[in-house]
Amino acid sequence: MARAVDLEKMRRATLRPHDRFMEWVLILFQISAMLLLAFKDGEFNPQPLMFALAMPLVTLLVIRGVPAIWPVDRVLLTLVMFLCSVSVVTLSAIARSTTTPMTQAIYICLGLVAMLAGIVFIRKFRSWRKWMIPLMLVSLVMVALPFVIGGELNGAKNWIFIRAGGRTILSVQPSEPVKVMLVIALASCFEDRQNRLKSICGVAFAAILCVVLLAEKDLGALVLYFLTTMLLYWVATNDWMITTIGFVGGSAGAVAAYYMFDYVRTRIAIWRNPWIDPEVSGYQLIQATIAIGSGGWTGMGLGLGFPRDIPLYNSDFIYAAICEEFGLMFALMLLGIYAVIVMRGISIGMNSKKRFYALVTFGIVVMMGLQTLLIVGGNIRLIPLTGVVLPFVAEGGSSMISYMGALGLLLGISSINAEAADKDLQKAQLQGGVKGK
Amino acid sequence: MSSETYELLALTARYWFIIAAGLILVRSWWAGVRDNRNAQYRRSWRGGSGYIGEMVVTGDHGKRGKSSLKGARFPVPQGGMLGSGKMADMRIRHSDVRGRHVWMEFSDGMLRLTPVGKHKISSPRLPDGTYVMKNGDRLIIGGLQMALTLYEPQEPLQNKRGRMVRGAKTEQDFDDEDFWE
Repeated sequence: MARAVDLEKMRRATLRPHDRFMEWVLILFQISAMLLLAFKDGEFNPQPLMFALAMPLVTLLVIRGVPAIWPVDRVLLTLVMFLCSVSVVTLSAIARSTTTPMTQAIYICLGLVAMLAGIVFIRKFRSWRKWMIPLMLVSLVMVALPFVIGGELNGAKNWIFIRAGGRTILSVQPSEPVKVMLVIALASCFEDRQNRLKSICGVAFAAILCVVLLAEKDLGALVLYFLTTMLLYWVATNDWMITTIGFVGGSAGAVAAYYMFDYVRTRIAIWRNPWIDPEVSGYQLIQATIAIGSGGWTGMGLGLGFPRDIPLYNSDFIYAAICEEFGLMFALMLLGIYAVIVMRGISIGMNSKKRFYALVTFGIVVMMGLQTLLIVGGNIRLIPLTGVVLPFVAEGGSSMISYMGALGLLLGISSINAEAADKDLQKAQLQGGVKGK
Repeated sequence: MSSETYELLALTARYWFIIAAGLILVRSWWAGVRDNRNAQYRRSWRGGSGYIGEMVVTGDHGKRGKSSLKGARFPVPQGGMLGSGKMADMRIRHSDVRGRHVWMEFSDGMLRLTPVGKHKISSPRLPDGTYVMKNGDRLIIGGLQMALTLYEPQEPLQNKRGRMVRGAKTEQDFDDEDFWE
């Protein structure tokens, strides 16, 4: 049964992929798209030219610089940089104003800082148990804050507006950073499988957050919090009973919300037939469907589409805009890239030696995957629209910075895994070979 | 650049964008496949950084006709599922071991075991009924007998009355009078 393990094979198994070809394809994509956009509408625009120079530099700096400090997952980093590039390219092509892509680029840079902070955080604080209660309290305060100092935007009262001189200079959506905090708090609660009470406390905490979100009419965040909590609970405890009760309770709550709240009924009605009110409530869904259809398989060409007819073309409906500009094939590949990110995240979780890290990783990728499915499903009329945005692509600072911070946690955990694998190899080399089963 | 030229370039560039996205997707997917293969191989090591020790099969009285597992060593993770199923963290293919048989968790120098459902195991127990294993203890699952060998064995922390203290991480925690009074 026992056989000697080849040290050379072990060494090869600890090597981390560094696909330079993929990096160069990404850089070529950025340069070619931006150079093309510099001459859009028959006139020269210097902003895309600036992006054509800056984006490859930032990409190289991130993809080469971060792994030089910590042994993080380079492929994950490259994929997220590709999504960010698609975001800036699409916004440069479709936005009404040149400030939109510039603002998004600034948010991406801030997000990269949040990513570095996430890596440092997860590597420095190995025990999160003592942070659990403060994290829960901060999350609750943040989610409830729009009730006190917030305002309503697009039907949901989940925004905080920072005003100066009578005009809004910044709008923040607190439910976005709370997503990451919720995952960390739940992972701390579910980490100890023996402590069932603690696990149920975690579920109860998420339920309180969901009630606050329902009161704020933030349906997208509510669905995401609920599904992530239940899936994380099931993965952590394998407790079919509570998970089933949770899902049945959630479904019953959804039915109750349908009969209790007008805005839920309207969303469902528009989803079933947007033509009942084509001028007002069904307008954006109809325009999105037309955009996806007119794009066809290969798209209308960068800068040649008319996605500006869709309200919220830059945030909630950016996937429809991508379908129109780049085509359905590109859009499907984009979904494939999200799937690869989720798979890599699950793989990082499986390789981590601590339950807490595994749960954090699973929570983050599940939340990201679900959010992608919710918004893409909403854009293509597969499910009712819930008002979440496409991670790393849609315009918006709260979402971008929060998800970049979450990516930092993922990368930090991947670097801890890589260091553990290196230690294994060193130990085996010192022993002069090991025997496995 | 005229609008016609731009249109021509944009229509041509669509194919390049699709190819670029396709290349990135395929390469990243392939990198994931290779990574998982390497990770599977790494998980089969008995290295010390992630695993706390190993279970050595000391006796196998399973079904006839099957090759005996006697002498085989299985690395024990810090926490995870012992079972014969594909998803088990510590996979032992044996007729008496269920797909998901026992949940294991290492804390305070002891490996705590929680059987899944009504699956049966035999190992030392605490007064509260929890199954625990220290260095050298035996675990019996049907006809399979295993002994636990910890890489860095340590005595479980005990208070003055000789009872094991749950949650004590360090000697300092343990010495704190309030902790165990």
